[in-house]
Amino acid sequence: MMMKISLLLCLLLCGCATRSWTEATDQYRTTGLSNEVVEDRAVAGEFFELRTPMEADGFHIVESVNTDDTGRMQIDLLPPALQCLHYGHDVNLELYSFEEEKVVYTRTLTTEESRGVIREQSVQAKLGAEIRLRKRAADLLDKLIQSTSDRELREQLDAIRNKVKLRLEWE
Amino acid sequence: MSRTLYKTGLPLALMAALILTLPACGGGPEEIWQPEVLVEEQPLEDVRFKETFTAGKMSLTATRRVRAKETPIERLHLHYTETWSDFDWDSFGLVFWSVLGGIVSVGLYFLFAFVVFDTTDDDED
Repeated sequence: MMMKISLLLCLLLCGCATRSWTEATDQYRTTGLSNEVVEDRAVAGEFFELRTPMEADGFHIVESVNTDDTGRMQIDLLPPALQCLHYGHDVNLELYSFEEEKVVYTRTLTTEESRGVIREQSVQAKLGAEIRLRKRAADLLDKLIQSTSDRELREQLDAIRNKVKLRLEWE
Repeated sequence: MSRTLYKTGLPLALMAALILTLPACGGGPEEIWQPEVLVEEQPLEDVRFKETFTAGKMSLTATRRVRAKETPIERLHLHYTETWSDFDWDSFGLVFWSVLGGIVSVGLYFLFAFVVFDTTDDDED
């Protein structure tokens, strides 16, 4: 009797575990006719590098950006605008495609446009928005505040400076 | 003596066989054909960007003209199931002593409630 009970107990306690998973294979069979269309599709999940030309002191912008599922990406124009205003010339923005291994988009940011970017960013800063900048761009902002003689621009830059939060290298 | 050995050894051998053969219980993978659409895209032009500006930031929307060929297919999926014994002495001891402790607790309750602190008067009648 004791033996039977202990055997039953052991069997109950032993138990077993099960796991299951599904793997897709490369093998498939067609079930219908193909449909061919020519249309514009969003370039989703593609990585690019945003670049600006290197200045004499070595300053330039290099940022990695990528498109989302709808093919959209957002580029912060504040660092190129600072570069434009500090060095006193238009700045060419280039978008380098890692997939195609070439520059796929170019745009020139003029001084006038840079002033517009600074103005809009300062409004955002005054409304309480956080301004995220790399350390090099934040240093450039400080230099521009010290060097500019334009009072309105200085006020806008000061408003931005008060809301700057540094972006770390890995961000 | 041999009878005792037989009675002890047989259940243990059965248990060992059970544990050792459990991994083989899973069998081969199950074949499942699942429908999906096979999309083959062939770019016809370079990527085009549409610009929009808001609050000092530029949004670029990247699109490309492609020739897309969509074919309805059924893809083979393999469904695997794996079974193994998860016995270990820690969990065995835990369950064993829990069960034993439970039995002893209930026994002690009845012992104290109805034997040691029995307040019923037997001489009432």
